[in-house]
Amino acid sequence: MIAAAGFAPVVDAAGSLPYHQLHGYIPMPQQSHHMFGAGFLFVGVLLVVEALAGHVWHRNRLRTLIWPATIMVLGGGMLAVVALDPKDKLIHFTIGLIMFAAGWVEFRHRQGEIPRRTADLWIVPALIAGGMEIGVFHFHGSFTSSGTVHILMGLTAALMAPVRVYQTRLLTSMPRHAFMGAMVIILAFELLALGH
Amino acid sequence: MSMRARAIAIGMIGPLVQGAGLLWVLANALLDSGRGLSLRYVSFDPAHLVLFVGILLSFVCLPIALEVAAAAPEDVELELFEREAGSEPAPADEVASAWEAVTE
Repeated sequence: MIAAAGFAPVVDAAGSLPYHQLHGYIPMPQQSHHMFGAGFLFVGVLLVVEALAGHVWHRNRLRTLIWPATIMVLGGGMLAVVALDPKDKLIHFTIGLIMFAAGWVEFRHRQGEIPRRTADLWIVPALIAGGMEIGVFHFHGSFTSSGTVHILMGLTAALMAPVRVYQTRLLTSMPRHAFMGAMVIILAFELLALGH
Repeated sequence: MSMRARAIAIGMIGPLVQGAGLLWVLANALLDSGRGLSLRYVSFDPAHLVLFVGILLSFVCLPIALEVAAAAPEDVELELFEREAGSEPAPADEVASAWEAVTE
């Protein structure tokens, strides 16, 4: 969080965008949450399919890389939200950066460049930090439906950390792999259910 | 889990998501029938998005279901992306060993 504060000038620069002129083209916060939910639903289901298909899934390199690539795209999308949404810039920026980096680490792992446990060194803390940011800082202390859903999303993201460690302990386990997919699907439906 | 069961599960997952989206769209139409149907609404409405994701998944998953149905049991074992034993370790492996020592 402290390191991310160093990017404040970049984040502030986005604040000078002519929002009034762009109005009508920019998705509303609720709508961008729904778009992210659709993205997570797509990759979450594909993670379950990957668990069921095993080697068959990885016959195609594109399929192997679709999970980390989608996380990187969603992270990039979150960085775009920083430029388009004047609210909660620092939170969106750090979550976007964390997601992009986590996707890149998973990408390198799937390319065989780094071992799983090295990838987990970044991904597990990233999930906890992401969960904290969504559930605690993005919650804004309001128990409205939006606030409650943000707490649930934060909890889901943070719970993915132990699930990831559990999965790493037996990488050949199909149910453990599918469990992670199910967690991503839960996160997707929380995002889709969000109404501001 | 048999190959046949896996193939059926993979093949049905897209239509299942599509069905959930369709039910959601119908429920919305019943509960809020006065809402107009614009491109912007369809593009961002969660029910329609679930429907679109289901259609996309059906296209992606159908060839995989066919491949799994024709595959041998060893072909559906999960892939390990780890380096093969005997090859030169990457510098990152040392970090991984340290992590392993901490977690075990």
